[in-house]
Amino acid sequence: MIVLDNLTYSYRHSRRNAITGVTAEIGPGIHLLLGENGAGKTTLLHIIAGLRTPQKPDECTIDGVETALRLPQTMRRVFLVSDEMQFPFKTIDEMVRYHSVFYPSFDPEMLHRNLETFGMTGREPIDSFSLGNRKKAFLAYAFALKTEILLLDEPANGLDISSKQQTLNMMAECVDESQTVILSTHTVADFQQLFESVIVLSAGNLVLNSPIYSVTEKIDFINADVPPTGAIYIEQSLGRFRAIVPHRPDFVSSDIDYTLLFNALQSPSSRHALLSILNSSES
Amino acid sequence: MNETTINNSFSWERLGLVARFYYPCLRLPLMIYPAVSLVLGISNYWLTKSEIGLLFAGLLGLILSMMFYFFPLFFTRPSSPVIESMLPATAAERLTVFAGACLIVNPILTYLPYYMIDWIFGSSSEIMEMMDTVSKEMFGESYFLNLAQALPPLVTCMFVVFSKWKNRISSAIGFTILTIVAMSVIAGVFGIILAVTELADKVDCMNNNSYEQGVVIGKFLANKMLPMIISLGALSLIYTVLMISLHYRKLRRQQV
Repeated sequence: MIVLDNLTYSYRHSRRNAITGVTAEIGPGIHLLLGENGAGKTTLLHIIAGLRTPQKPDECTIDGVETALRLPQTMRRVFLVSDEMQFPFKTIDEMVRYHSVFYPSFDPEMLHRNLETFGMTGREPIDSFSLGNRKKAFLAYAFALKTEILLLDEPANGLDISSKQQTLNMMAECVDESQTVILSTHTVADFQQLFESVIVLSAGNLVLNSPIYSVTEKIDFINADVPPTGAIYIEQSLGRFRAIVPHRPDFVSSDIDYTLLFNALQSPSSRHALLSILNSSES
Repeated sequence: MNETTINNSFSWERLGLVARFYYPCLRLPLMIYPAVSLVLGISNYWLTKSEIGLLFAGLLGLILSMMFYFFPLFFTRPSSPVIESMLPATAAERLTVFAGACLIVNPILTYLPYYMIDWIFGSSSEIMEMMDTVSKEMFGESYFLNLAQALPPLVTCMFVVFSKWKNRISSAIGFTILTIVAMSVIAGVFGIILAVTELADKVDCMNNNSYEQGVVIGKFLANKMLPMIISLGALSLIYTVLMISLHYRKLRRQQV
C-alpha cells in the first residue's frame, strides 16, 4: 500500500510547491493519474519511485517504509517507465543479463512473449530503435519485471495506434491483482477499459482520488443532441452536447468520459458541485 | 534482527550485482588501458635511451596520468539516470563498486604494464638510473604520501561523474582540470620557496650523471622536500576522504 501523508515537494529554484499536502492511500489495481501540464504528476511518480525526497521523508511510504530511504527491499518492488529514460545497455538481452537480476520476480518468458508481440527479439541494437520502438521495448521489459508497483509516465507517447492496442492488451495480460500500477497519461482513451480508480491533480493539489465504480455510481456522462437538464458541467462541440449529470437509477450511462470529467474538475464553476457529489457517501 | 534489517544492510551479493551492472562500462578500458600502458612503457624505455628522448618521456607520463585521472568517464556511457538511481542497492554497495573500480582496478590497468617494462628491462640509460636513484632517495620514506597526490583529480572526476546527471562529461573534465591546476599551484608555491631559499647552490650537481651524485641529490631533496611532500600528501588524503564521504551522501539521496 502506497501512503501519501500530507505530501509536499518543491523544486530548489521554484517559488511554488510542485505538490502540496497530498494525502491518499493507493492500493493494488490500475490507477489513472490525471492532471494538467505542471500539475505534479511526474514529480509524484518520482517521489513514489524514491527518485525525489519529499519535504519530510515520512510523507511517502510503501507498506510503512519511507521511499526516501531508498532501501533495496523497497526499491526492488518499484519500477518506473518515463519518457526521459534511456537504455543503459545495447540490447534488451543485455538489460536482462545485467539489470533484471536485481528483481527476483522477473519473468523471462513473459518478456519473450511481450517482445514477440511487438515483433522484437531482444537482440536488436537499441540505438537503432525509433522513439516508439524504444518505448515498446521498455514497456515489454517493465511488465516482465513484475514489480509490485509499476509507475508508467505517459506510456502511450510515441506509440502508433496498433502499438497502443498491443500495450493495452499486454497490460491486461501481465498485470495481476496484487500489483499496483499508476499510469499518468493525457491520452486517456488508449487505456480506459483498464482503470480501476482515478487520481486527479491540479496545480500540485489532489482534487480527486476515487474508484471508477464510485464515480459511475454518483454521476452519469451524457452525449446528446440537446442540452440535458440538471447538468453539473456541459460542453458543446460539433453540434453535440456532452454533459455530466448526477446519477439517476433509471438512466443507462455511457462509458466514463475522462476528458469531460477532467475538464469539469478544472472548471471553477463546476468543480465544487462535482466534488461534493463525488465525495458524498451516498450513491 | 528482523528480515528487513538483514536485507537492507550491506550485502556482498548485491555488490556483485552492482559490479555486474556496471561491467559493460568497463569492457573498453579493460581492453585498451593495459595495451596503451604497455605501448607507453615500451616507448618510454626506448625514448629514455637518449637525452633528447627524455623530453618526450615526460609526455608519456602525462598521458598515463590523464588516463588515470579520467578513468571514471567510462561510467558515463551509456547513461541512464533513472535506471541507475532506481537500482535496488545501498549507497555503500554502489560506492564500493565505484571506488573499487577507480581506486584499485584503474591504477592496476594504467600503471602495471607500464612499470612491468621497467622491472623486466631495468633502467635504459645512466640518466634514468640516476633519476631512479633520486626518486628512490627522495620518496623512500614518504612514498605512499607522494602517491596520494594523484588521488584528488581522480576522486574529483569520480564524484562529478556519479553525482551529476547533466553535462557530466564536460563538468567532470572541467572540475578535474581545475583540481590539477589547484594542486600544481600549491606545489609550485612550495617549489619556488624551496628553490629560492635552499636549492640554488646545488643546481650544478644536476649536470653530473653518476650514481653517487644521484644519491646526494636525492637525499638533499628528500631532506628539503619532505615537509612539502608530507603536507601535500596529507592534504590530498584529507581531500580524498572528504570527496568520498560527500560522494556517499550524494548517492544516498540522489535525485534525478
